[in-house]
Amino acid sequence: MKNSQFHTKKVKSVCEKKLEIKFRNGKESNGWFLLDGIKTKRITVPKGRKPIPPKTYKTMAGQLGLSVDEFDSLLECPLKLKGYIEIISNSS
Amino acid sequence: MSIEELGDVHPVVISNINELYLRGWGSGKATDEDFVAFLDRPAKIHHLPVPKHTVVYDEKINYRLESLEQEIAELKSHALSQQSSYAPIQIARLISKSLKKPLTALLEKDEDGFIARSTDVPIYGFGDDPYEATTNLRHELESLYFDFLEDDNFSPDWLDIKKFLMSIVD
Repeated sequence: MKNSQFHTKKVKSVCEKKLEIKFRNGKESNGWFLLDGIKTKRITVPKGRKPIPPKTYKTMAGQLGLSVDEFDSLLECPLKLKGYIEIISNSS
Repeated sequence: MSIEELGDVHPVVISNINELYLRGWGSGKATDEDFVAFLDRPAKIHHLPVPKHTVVYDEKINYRLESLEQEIAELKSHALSQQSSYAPIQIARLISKSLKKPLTALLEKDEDGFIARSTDVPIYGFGDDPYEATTNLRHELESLYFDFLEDDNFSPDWLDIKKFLMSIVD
């Protein structure tokens, strides 16, 4: 688990760019991932945490339907949108 | 005019004329000014359209009540932060919405922070202390509720959650 390497800002940025999630900025940031135009996953990203505590990291991964390793890959680079869609389509 | 439209003036609801009678107010023929004098503190009166309901705005008491509520919440939060395990907590209301039945939430410590998660709905609140985490959870639940009000464009899992949440929000 690579939670210590990332800030929550990075998580939000990756979700916006790779997963095209549009965040609503309230007390915390939350947004929906659309699969084929349907709101399928919802993620809440807390504000201002670096390094990200481990349970918080796992929680964010889980909200996107990912294991921690898959979430690491999403944040680092290897996992792209197409790969993410394959993962969540196979798990549902 | 509803209570919400009154803006920054926070009402202390006396409830109804019968309660005024019980407080020794009398026959009900007295004027608003007489009642304010009886309270002996700054207050405003507004009569709601609903019959027999009078709302008295006692600003000093309401301000003090809000301060006390905040202090109690912070003391509870501090006490909770000293614990290593946490009993489930009940969420009886969201931010602007009340619930017909409470939701259960679990609180977990996560290094220097806390996570509050609902056991009924896959929603989380994060915070530096239990109070903040729980408050943020309530914000998230209410945000989800308003998302659900917009349309039905959700996956089947989320539509089930929508059905549940809509049934318990007042």
